Amino acid sequence: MAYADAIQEQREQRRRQRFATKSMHMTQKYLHRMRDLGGTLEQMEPFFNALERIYVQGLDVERPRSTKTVGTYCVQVPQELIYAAGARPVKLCSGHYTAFSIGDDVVARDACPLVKAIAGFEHMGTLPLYENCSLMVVPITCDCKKRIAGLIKEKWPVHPLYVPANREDEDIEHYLDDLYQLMHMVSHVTGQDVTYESLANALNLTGYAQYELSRFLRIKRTTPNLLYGTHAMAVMNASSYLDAGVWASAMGALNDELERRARANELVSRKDLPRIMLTGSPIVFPNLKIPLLIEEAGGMVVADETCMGERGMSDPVVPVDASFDGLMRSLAIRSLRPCPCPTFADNSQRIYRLRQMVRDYHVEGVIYHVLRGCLVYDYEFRLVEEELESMGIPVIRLESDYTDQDVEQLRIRSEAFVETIKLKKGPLKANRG
Amino acid sequence: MNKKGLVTAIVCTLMVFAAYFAWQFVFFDYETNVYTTTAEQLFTIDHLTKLVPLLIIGLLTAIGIVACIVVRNHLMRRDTLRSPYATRRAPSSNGRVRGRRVSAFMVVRWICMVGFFALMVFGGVLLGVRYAWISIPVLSCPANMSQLTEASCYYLAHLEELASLPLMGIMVFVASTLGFVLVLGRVLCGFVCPMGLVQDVMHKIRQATKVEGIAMTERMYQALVPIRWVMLLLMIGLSFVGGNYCNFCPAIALTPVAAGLSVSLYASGFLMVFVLIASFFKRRFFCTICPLGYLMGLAHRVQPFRIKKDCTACTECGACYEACPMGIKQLYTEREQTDVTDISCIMCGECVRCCPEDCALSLTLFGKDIYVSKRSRVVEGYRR
Amino acid sequence: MSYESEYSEALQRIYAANADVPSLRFFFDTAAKWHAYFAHDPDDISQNAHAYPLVVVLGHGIPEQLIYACNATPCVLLGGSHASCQWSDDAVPRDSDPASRSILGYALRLATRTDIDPLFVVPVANDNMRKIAYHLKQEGHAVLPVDIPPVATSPSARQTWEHSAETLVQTVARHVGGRVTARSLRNANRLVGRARAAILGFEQSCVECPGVLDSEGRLLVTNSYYQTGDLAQWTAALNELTAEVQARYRTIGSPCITAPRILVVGSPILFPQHKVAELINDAGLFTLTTVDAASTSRFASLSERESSGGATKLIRAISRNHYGFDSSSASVVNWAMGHYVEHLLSSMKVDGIIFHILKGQIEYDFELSRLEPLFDRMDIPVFRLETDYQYQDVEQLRIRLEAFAEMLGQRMLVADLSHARRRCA
Repeated sequence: MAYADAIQEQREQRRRQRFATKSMHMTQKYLHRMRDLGGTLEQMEPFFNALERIYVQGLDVERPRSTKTVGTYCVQVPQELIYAAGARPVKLCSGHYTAFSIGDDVVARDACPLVKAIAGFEHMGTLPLYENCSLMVVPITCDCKKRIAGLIKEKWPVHPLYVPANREDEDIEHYLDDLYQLMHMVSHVTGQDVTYESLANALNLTGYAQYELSRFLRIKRTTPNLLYGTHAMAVMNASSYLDAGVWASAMGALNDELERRARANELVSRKDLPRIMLTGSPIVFPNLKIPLLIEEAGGMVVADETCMGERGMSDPVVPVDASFDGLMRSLAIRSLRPCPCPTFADNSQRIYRLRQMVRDYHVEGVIYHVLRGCLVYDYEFRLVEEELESMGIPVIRLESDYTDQDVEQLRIRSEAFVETIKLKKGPLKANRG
Repeated sequence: MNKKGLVTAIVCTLMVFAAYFAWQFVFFDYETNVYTTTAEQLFTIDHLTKLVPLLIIGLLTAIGIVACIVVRNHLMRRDTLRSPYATRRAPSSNGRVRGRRVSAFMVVRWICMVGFFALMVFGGVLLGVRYAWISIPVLSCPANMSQLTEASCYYLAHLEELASLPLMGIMVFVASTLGFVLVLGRVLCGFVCPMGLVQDVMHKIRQATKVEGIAMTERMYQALVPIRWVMLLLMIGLSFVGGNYCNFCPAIALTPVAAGLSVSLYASGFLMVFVLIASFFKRRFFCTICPLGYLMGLAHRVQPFRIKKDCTACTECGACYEACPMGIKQLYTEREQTDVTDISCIMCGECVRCCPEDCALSLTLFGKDIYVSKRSRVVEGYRR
Repeated sequence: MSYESEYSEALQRIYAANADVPSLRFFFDTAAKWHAYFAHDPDDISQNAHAYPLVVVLGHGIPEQLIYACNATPCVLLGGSHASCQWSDDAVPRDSDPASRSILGYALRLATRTDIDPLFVVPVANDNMRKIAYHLKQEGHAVLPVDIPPVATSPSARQTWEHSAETLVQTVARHVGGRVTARSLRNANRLVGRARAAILGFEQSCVECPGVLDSEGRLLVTNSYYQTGDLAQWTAALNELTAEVQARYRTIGSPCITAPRILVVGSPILFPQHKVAELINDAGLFTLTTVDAASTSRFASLSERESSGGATKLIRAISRNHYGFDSSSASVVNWAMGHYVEHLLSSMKVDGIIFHILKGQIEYDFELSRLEPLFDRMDIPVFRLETDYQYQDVEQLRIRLEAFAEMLGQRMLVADLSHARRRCA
C-alpha cells in the first residue's frame, strides 16, 4: 500500500513540476512579446520584475517575513483595511492560460476563464502567491466569483464580502458594517489591531499610489504616443503584487522619466496611430493578448476601462470626516459608489465614464472585450454599442478565452478594425501611416 | 413609519409650546436690558463680565457634548462590531490623513465669516458709523444696536411692526432685504451669518478631536423638513398670536452677548445650547432648519451664484453628498442638467473642495467659474 | 413553432395522457388562461385610458406572501417557453441560459402592452436577473431590484434582507394603491401557507399513489401555482385533486412501481418545456420529486408567536423565515437545496439522481460538484443532464437516459438478489 502511495506521490510531483514549467514558459512568452513591442523604459523594469518574480521565478511577493498576505479578488475590497491591520493585500484575479487549462476540468464548463485559472492554481498548489495567503477575501459580485468563494473555501480561510446590488444610503450603511467585520477578521489573522494611526497611515500609503497614478494618467492623456498601452497595463497590473508605497515610488520615477521624454518629444512612434480604447472584462497579466494584438497591428491602446487597469485604482478615497468612523465611511463609499462594475443593478454611470474617457483621450475606436462566459459584460455590450454609435465611434466586440488557439482569428479582426479606423481618419493619413 | 411621524409631531408640538411660552423659561435675566454699547466699553473688564451668559452656554454645551459621547459609547457597547473602535479617536491619537491642499476659496470664506462676525458684533461702534437702513437677512440679532447694519430678521418676525412703519421705511427694508436675497442669496449663509461661523467652529473642533459625528441619511434629512416648516411658521406667525420669536431664536444669545450688551435670555439660551451641541455632531445643523435661510433659498433659481456640474466628468462617487452640510443629494445623482443649485445650498463650497474629478463641479458667478473641482486638490497632499 | 402551438400542443398531450382524472380540468384551464394572456400581440391591445397596475415577479427569491398582502396577485415569470426566447433575442447575449431568455421575453411582452402598468420586481439571485433588471430600467419601466444577501453570516445580511422586504412591500403597495396592515399580512400568510401545504400533500400522494397521474401532469399542477389568479380557489381544487388521486389509486388496484425511483435535482422543469420529463418517462423511470429553486420555500411557515405583532414585525418575520428556507441561487452555497436533497436521500429509497442543468445555469454545475461526495458516500448513481430548450439533442439524450435506466434496473436486481440471498442464508 505504501509503495502504491509513493508511486502516486511521485506522479503528482511530476505533474506539478510539468505544470510549473509550462506556466513559467507561458509567462515568459508574454513577457518577451511585451518587450519585443519596443519602447520599454528602464523605469518599467521594477514592474516587469515584480511580474517575473511571481510567475517566472515562482517566488512570493517581496515582503518582510512577519507580514502576512491577504488575497483579494475584486476592486470592491478596500486594500487600506488590510494595510491598516499590518498585512499585505495581493490581487489574485488570474490571467494565466496554463492554470486555466487545469481549472477547465475542475469547475463548470461555462464558467469564466478568470475563475477557472484561480481554480487551476488552487488545484495544483504550486504558486506561493496563492499558497502563502493567510486569508482570502472574496467579494460576492458576479456568479462565478460567488461560486469560487465556495470552492476555494476547502483550501484557505475565506471571508466572503457581500457587495450590495443597489447603492442607496442604507446599502452603504450595511456595507460599512461588513467592512468593520472584515477589519476584525484581518486583525484576527495578523494579530494586530487596527488603530486610528494605522488606518490613517494606510490611507496615506494608498493615497500616495493614487497620486502617482493620477499623474501617470494625466501624462498619458496629454502626450499621445508616449508609451504603449500594453506596457501601461502591465505597469498597473503590477500593483497587485507590490506594496503600495514601493509601487508608488517606482511609478514616481517612471512619471519623471515620462515627463522628461514628453518635453524632449521622445515618443515611441511618430505616426498618427489609431487611438483605441479597451473596455470590458478584466485583462490580467499574462493575458495581454488583446492589447498586444492591437498594438502589433498598428493601433495604440490609449485608455482602458477595465478593473485591473485604469479603473481599478482611479477613484481616490475622499475622507470627509476625520473620525475613525468617518475614514471607514469614506472607504465604503469609494468601494461602491463610483464603481462602474456591471454587477451593480444600475450601471448607467459606466456610459458616462466611457463618454468622458472618449473625450479625454480623443479615442477613435473602442474594442469591447468579453471573456467567454462573462455574462455581465456581455449584457452591457448592446447599450455601450448604442451609445458609442451615437457618438460616431466604431466599436467591435472581441470575445476571447485563455488559450492561444483564437489568436489568429483575433489578430485578423484587430487588424481589420485598426484599418477601418485608419481609413476613417482619411485616405491621406492612412498612406502616411 | 408611524413611529417616526409620532416623534416628529411631538417635537413640533414641544417647539411651538416652548416658543409661545418662551418668556417663562428664563436662562439669564437682567433687570434692565441695554441694547447699545460704546467704543470705550469694549474689551474692558466690564465687557468681560457681560460675557457670562456665553460662558454659561459654552460650559453647558461642553457638558452636553461629553454627556452625549459617554451615552453613545455606552449604547454602542452592545454593538460588537464597532465598540472596540469607539475609543480610538482620542485627541492624542497619532496619525493624520494628509491629502487635501488648502484652497484659496476656503481661506477667503473663513476671513469673510470672521470679518463679518466682528462687524456684526461691534462694527458699528468701532467704525463709528451705522448703516441702519441696510437690512441684511442673516441671523445677527438686531437686539445688538451696535452692529454695523441692521438685520432683516426682526421685522420678518414682527410683521405688524413693519406694517406700522412709514411707507418709506417699509420700502427701504423690502428693497434692502430683497436686494441681498436676489444678489447674494444663501451666499450670506455660507460667508456672512454669525450663526454659521459658530457652527463651523464647532465642526472644526470635532474634526480636531476626531470625535465621531452623526451620519445623516436621506430619510433623516426628510424628517427635518416638518421642523423647518414649524420654525418658519413660528417666525412669521408668533407675533400675531401674542408671542415673541426673539425669545425663542438662538441668535439672540450670540452677537448681542458677544458685544457686551445686557440682553435677557429666555428659551433662546437653552435653544442655543442645543444648537451648539447638535452642530457639533452634525455640521451646520441649525442651517437645515433655519427659517430665514429657507426664505432666502426660495429665490435660488434667479440668483447669480450657482453650482454647475459637468455630468460626464462626474463618476458618481458621492463625495459631494457626504461633504454637503445640507445633504443635497442631487449634486451627485443629477445626470442631465448642468445646474444643480438647490434651495438648501449655502454656497459653502465643500462639494467642490471634495470632488476628485477635474471640472466636475464648480461654483460660478454669472456663469464665470470662481471655484472649480480639481483632482490635484484631493491627491496632491499625499505626495512624498 | 409558434408560442400558441407550443403550449396548446403540450396541454393536449398531457390531457390525453391523464384524461381519466376529471379534477385536472381546473389546472388545464388555469395554465391555458395564463399562457393565452401572453399570446396577444401588444399591438393588438386596445388603448386603455387607465392601465391596470400589475406586479410582475421575475424568478424565485422573494416570499410571495408579501405581494398578496398588498392586495395584488403577482404575475410570476419563470421561463419555460422556447418561443418566448425569440421575443428577447436581441437583448440577451449568446451565453445566457434559456430560462432567463424566456423570462425576459415574457417581461418585454408585458412591457410593451398599453393596457397594463407593470412593476417588475426582480430578485437579484444571479447575473442574468441583475442585468435584466438593468435592461428593463433603461427601457424606462418601473423596476424594483430586490437584493438577496448571499452570505448569511455577514452582519448586514439580516438587516439588508429585512430592509429589502420592507421596501418591497412599500413599493408594491404604492404601485397598486393597496394598504398593508398586520391583518392583510396574516391573511396572505395563511393563504400562501394553505396553498403550500396543499402542494406538499399533493406531492406526497403522488409518491404514495403512483400510476394515477403521470409526471407531466404532476409538473403542470405544481407549476400552475404561479399561474393562478385566485389562490384560494386553486388550493381547494388541489385538495380535491389530491383526494381524487388517492381514491383512484385504490380503485385501480394500488399498483406497485417497479421502475427505478429517481430524484430530479437542479434547474426546474417548467411548462411547456417538458422535454426532460418526457424523456424520463419514456426511459421508464419514476420521478419521486423534483428539487429546484422553489422546492424548499414550501416548507417555510411561521410559528404562532411569530404571526402576532404589528405589520413591520410580521414583514420581518416572514422575510427572515423565507431567507432561511430559500433555495434560489442567491447564496454562495445553496445550503437549503443540499440539506433537502440529503434529507430526501435518507428518508426515501432513491435509486438514482438526475441532475438537470440548463445550458448556462452554472450554479447547478457547482452544486453538483459540491454534492457529488454525498452521492458517492450513499452509493447513488448520478446522471448529469445538460440541455437547453431546443429539440435537437432529444435523440442523444433518449439513448443516454435509457442506458442510465438500464443500469439502475440492473443495480436494483443485483441488490434484490443479494438481499434475498442474505435472507436465505
